[in-house]
Amino acid sequence: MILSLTGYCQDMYFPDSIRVFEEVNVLAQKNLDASGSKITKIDSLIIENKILSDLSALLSENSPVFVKSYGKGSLSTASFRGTGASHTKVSWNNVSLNSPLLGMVDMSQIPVAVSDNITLYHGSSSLSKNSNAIGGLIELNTRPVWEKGIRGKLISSAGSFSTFDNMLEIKAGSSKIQSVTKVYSNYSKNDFEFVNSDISSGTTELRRNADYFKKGFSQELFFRTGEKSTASVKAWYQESDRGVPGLTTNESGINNNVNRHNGNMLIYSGEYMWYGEKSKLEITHGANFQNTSYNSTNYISGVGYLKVVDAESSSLSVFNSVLHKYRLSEKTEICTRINYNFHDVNSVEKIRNEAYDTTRSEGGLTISLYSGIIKNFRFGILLRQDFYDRKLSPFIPSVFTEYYLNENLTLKCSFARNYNLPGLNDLYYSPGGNPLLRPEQGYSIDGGIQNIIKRKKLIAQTETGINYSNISDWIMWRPTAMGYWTPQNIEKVLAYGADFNLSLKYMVADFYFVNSANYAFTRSKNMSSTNIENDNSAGKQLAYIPKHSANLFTRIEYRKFYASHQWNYYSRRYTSSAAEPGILVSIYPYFMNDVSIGKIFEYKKLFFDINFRIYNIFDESYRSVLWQPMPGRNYSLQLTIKFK
Amino acid sequence: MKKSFYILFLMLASAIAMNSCMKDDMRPVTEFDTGDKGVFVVCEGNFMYGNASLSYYNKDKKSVENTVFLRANGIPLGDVAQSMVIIDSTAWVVVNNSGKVYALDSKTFKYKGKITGLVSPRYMQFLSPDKAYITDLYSKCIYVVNPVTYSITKTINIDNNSNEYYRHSSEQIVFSGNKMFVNSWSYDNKILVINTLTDELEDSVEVLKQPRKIVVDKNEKLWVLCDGGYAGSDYTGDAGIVKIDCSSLETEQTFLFTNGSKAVDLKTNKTGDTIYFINGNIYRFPVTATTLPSEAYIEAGNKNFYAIGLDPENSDLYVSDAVDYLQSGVVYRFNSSAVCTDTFDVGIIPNSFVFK
Repeated sequence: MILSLTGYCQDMYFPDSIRVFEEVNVLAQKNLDASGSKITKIDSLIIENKILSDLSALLSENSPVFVKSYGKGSLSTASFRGTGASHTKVSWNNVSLNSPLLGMVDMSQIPVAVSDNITLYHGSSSLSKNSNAIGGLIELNTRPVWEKGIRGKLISSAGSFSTFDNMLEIKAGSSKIQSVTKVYSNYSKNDFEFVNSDISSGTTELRRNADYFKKGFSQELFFRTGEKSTASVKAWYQESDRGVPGLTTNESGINNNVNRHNGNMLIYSGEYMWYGEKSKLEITHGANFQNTSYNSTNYISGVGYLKVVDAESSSLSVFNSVLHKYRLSEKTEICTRINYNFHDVNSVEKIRNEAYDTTRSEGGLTISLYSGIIKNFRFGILLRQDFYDRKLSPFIPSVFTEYYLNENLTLKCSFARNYNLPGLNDLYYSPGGNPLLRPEQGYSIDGGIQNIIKRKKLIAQTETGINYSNISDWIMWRPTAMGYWTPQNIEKVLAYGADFNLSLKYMVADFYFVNSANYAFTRSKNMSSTNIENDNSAGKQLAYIPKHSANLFTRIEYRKFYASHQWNYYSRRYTSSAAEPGILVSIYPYFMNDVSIGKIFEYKKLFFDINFRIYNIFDESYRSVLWQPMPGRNYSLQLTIKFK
Repeated sequence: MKKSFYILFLMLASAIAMNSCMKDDMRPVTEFDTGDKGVFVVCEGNFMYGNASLSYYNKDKKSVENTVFLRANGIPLGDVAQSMVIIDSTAWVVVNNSGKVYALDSKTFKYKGKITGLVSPRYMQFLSPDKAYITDLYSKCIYVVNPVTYSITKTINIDNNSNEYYRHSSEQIVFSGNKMFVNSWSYDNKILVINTLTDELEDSVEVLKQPRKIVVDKNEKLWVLCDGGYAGSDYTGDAGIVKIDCSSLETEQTFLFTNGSKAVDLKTNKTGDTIYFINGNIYRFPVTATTLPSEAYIEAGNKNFYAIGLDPENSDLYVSDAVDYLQSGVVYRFNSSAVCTDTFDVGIIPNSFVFK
């Protein structure tokens, strides 16, 4: 499933095209600037399979990234290798999706449908992509397929709990211009039944206020502006509205503690690329406008419905970057990147009259040299100096190396410094914001071995890696005696571990098998020398980071039929800072099984795919966050129609 | 073809093997039978974490049992256990962000009943066995309840009908004659005065910002600990203690904290002649004092003192340390000479002590 191979871009219109084994590039064709980096690419088959889902489902089930989800459509945050949610950066066509206020991305709000290439840059590998993610970068991109004519697909799904997902995509163009239009919507009443065993005399209840709705569209235009240049402009707009359900222990009544969260987002992005004989120029510009509101309402006798929280925030972020690559020789290139970003944010809570309005500018210069002049050995040196608000960020040197033991086997190693700025809420949110926060900074070391086996009817790729990050001034929100939470820099966090992933595709007789597996061992420990007496958090696993996580995806195709199985596992997660046991402060290990079956058929120029899915096939009664119930066995039926 | 079916079979078998029941409801129940005397420690837990708990301390054996409600009943206490009161053999636990009050047997910790449908309850106080009041952060009223039937009988409107902030909230309750005093803490600066004969709001007294805790001394003086609001917020000011005469409602003295505010708790002893409070350290002074003590009674050092409790039987002082507010707290027991005689671990954010 996850191939850390470049140049693999496939238009997923006819699934037979998946069954090509020639798609794997030999190592020698790999981009120089990917040398020594841990980069994984989500297989297009999996993207197609999850096209109506959000990024949360895709990452948790098909990558080593851990996703903490409050339920379908609810807040979901992702963390790489034991780092925090704000250490995971997400970009869509070079525009950051991270909220400048919160620093993080709610993965449930990002539909898979808006991208056709999803690439994960683990740890310092993100440095080559204009990102300084301590955890990692999730890059969502769209790429043109220079095919003449009109193509399109309509995908509709109906499922349990009044869940309806729809997507329409139209591609049209010529060899010089391509247009891609996408429209989508996701709605669910999400009122599943569960047995509430968390209150006295608990009975079967319907989950309340867990509904969600999301709709959006994107328009992309790609141009071949000349023999040596391309350009593109892209825009994406989305609106969302959802309930924020309470805990199972809440018995205040259906009219109280009614929390809603809604927002909209408009992103545009422009890109110009020029290819010379020895050089490449890439100019990108984009902006992200986000508005969100959150309110909490109670029914007050004699007054009516009254808001106790009425918060709104808006942000405008502008991103600019110029990249120049120059090939010094056939095996050596030097890259220079200049970037400048600007954020303007406004946050207000109307009931308590708390507000802040601020701006932040940031930018930097990155110079990197990648070379393969030594036989079977490649290396890269990257130097980066950023600034923010007239202050210099920590200087970032990094080194990436890889060595080819043979045609199939590659050893990788890298070292990098990195940093992360506090989010603007960390600094200015009232009450609790801490303007004295320092940027988080640290270094990381990565090592790994990648193996690719290619036979006539088999492709297997494994990658085994180890990672170590030492992060100082980690920003952690903690409650205070006054009741509100406040962020503080804690001295040190060590995050280290190992991961393994496998991608396997093979044919036996008329059966085509696709397997992918991920396993991650993650330790993320607070190593601060505390000055708080009785503090037992030193050396303990950080909250909500599982030590072990794994997933397995299997798909079998037989002629026009297919079936798939998805398995997920997380070990116990702790919620207290001292990683204490007990059901009030930890969550039991998580196991989940989903299956689907489908059939493909064609009629003239139309292609049909009908798919039936069963989620939580063993009807587990479970939760993945304390006191937030999850649905039992549930179903969906999906129909895909493609035309060409 | 045969090979394919072998592979299919292996995959199916592995899929089934990977099923493992997520023991969601495995909560073994423990039978308790504690004596007549002991100390409950209410551990509020973290907001929206649902990790509130009750700890029970045996004073004679110096032993502690944690999460006793969960262990006795197989259900969690809920989200933010704000307070507790014992009447006869029933303990009433106000679970703020679960909108309810649980009643349990104070010896066995077994569930007896509950009052639900409350918006954001904070404290409960009994006027008589069949009449009690429950305060609320957001409901703009005080509930009058019949504990015998676990029902709300009426409400006392305390809305100030203003759009400024969200007023009035209601917190602790103390009685003096036919008056009931209630502090409006959240973004407010009022002590509400309610007539318990008519159950109507009669008057209010302005104090410093955010009156957090109240007690009445032996001279029928009301002592109000004000935390001064949130530093850096729109609503912030001086922190301190205000002394009010319960009859005339006159403010007799205001004691300001000069070195910032970590004001979290206020208590009086059984005889009502001494005031204890936490402002970082623990301080105490006689009710006749005209200035605050300059020396701490017990230094906090690097501890985060959060609650104090005075044993009415022997004047032992119990002090909780909330540590980092995200892990198990610690309780210190001091004798009347301020010598620490025991320490024990309890649940997350121990916010009060209730003696039976």
